Amino acid sequence: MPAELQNKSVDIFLEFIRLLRLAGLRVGLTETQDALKTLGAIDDLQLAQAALSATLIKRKADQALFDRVFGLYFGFTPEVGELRLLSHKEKEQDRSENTEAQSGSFGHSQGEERNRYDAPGKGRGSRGVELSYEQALDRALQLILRHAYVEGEPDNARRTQEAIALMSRMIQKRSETNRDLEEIRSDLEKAFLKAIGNTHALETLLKEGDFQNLDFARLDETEAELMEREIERLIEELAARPKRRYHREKRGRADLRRTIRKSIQYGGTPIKLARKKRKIIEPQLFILADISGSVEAFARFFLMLTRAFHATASIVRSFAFVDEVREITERIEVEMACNPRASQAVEKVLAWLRLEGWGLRRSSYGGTFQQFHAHVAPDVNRHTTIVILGDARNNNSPSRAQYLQRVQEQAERIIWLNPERKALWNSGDSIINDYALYCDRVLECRSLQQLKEIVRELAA
Amino acid sequence: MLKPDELSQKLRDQGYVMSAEHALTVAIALHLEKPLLIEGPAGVGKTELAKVLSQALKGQLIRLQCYEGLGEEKALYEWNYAKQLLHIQADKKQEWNKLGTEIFSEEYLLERPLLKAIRTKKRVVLLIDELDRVDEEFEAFLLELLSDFQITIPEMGTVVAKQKPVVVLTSNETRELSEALRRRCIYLYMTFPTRDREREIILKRIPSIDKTLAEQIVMYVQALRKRELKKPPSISETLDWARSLQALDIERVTDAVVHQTASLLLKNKADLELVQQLDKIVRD
Repeated sequence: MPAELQNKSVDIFLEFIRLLRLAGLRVGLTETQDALKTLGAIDDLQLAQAALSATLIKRKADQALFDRVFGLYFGFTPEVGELRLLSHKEKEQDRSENTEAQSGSFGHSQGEERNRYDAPGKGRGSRGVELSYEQALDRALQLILRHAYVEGEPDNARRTQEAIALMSRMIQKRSETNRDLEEIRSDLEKAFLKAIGNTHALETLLKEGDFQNLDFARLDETEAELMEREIERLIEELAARPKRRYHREKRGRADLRRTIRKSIQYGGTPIKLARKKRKIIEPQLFILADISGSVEAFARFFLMLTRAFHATASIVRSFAFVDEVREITERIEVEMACNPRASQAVEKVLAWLRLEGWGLRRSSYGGTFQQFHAHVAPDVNRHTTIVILGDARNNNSPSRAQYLQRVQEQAERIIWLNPERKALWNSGDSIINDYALYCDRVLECRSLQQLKEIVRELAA
Repeated sequence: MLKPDELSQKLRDQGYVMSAEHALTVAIALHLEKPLLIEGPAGVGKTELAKVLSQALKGQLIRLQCYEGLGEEKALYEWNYAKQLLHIQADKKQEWNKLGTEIFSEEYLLERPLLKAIRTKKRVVLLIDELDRVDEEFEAFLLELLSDFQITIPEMGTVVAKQKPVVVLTSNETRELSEALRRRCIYLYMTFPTRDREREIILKRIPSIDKTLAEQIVMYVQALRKRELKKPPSISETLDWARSLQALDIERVTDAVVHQTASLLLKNKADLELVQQLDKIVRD
């Protein structure tokens, strides 16, 4: 055990474990025991971080999270080589009045916030003069303490984390610094911790965001990237189903009737055993995706998953629509083959459609269903599942729901996934109820959590 | 006491270069007597580590190569049915009890790697290679084995390990391994090395190579890895390339050289095409 650690109680270590769990890392009792045993076996403090890392982390993706929690909790600097722990005493809240920095609250959407800060003369010093890095940090901190970090409020952690992310970006743009975003964010977090100075502050920074329930339409850049990665993991998970050790034979159970008939050839002795031919059902999956406006984000994520469905359905076909339908199956296949990441592939397909002017059109579900019925319905059979992605906002044009009805008669089932909040369904030009009549299931699908549930069911 | 530096040195003596952090992780696994799970892209030295470790620990290396469809029989033990049948045929008059003892004896037991690892009295390093290729049932079976290190052969009795083998599991990340297995092991992620590390590796494995050439090789390979390749070159490819360049008497690496010898580094048509189209491989 390193000398510096010998006098410290186990509580410090256990607190670290607690914070790891709060941040979303699953640490079990065995791991904790391993970690303690290992700490007891090293004598160099420098190795402590690596030692804890080796015993508490069980997958590569957890490393970044671990490092962050460790960095914030221990404030460890290798050059100094000593263990500086955060004081657990409540420090005086250092909120100085800063009249220049009055700029709205953090309750609004990100777009609005950005506009407020772009307003000239507000909280940015005089027009045209850049702030020094320290000044910018300080201003940002004041804003966060004043508006985002409100102890006791339920959404506290998420708001504070979002605020820090936003402020870091602002600092990078507005102050004279070459630091990269990660560094700025780290400095801001340290300043925040110093200002509040208690465990609660630490928890606010580390608490696992409710990423699973974020609305697809409200993601910022970083979150969108994270979402893409989550979906890629979902694809892997679906692909990694336990493989069958033995493959199914084409022929199945013994067929008594045919055995007896065959035995006639041999004078009544059943020499050959006839077997029932197993009917091969080829399930089909058709994905019909609205790629207009706000639904695009969701459609994009869902289309990334087409690859995952190949395991369950023999035929997977994808169609994009706004006011007309275009089959994009082949396009997607080609792009998936050329691009290592599914998100890039889908982006390329959508970009191609945009080139053809699709970005400027207005949704017409009626027109879409009419076309779909005319051109694609012949291929729809009783083993076909059709998944429709859209918000059913028809721009007040005729619903033409009868075409969907006809398709439903032919298909096995129709599942409608609506990325809009259920409260907004049928408001304005949304006519989801008209179409719901002809769907087997209509589901809200606006967060990762919901998407995962639905997809797992579909791919089962 | 954990002495990662000593371990690192022992491995270096065998020609294997690894970072201090990795060495610490391996040392921890040895200290806690837990299996070591190494995950990472193909060709970074996972299997090699197990081999070198067995030499450094002066133990015997027993290797179980995993593949899709691997079952307990092929991993644990099998009875030599053919021989047993012949024995029965040959000695028809024997009474059953005596026959039973005879045909279910050591002679007729085909010992497979896992059983062998348990029965060996000397120190053993058990390498279970490419675990991601087996199904979940096999993983569950392994888990049981790794907890108890004992096997019951119905006809012969229970075999308990006299010494706990050092277990190394490798995975190429083609699928997610089960949570239970991960928690049972000490986890090590090995990826492509840094510049300094890669240069060290080249110089260690190919002592006769020119230092400047090695430096250039590292520069080009690192640059290639930054590109969007489907299968970035790993250390084994770097070493192959280095040896080939040496054999071809090439003294300095240029873009042209890379274009000519690209197939030694890249094993993928799409990647080869991408590189051929680059006019400047090393970006500033």
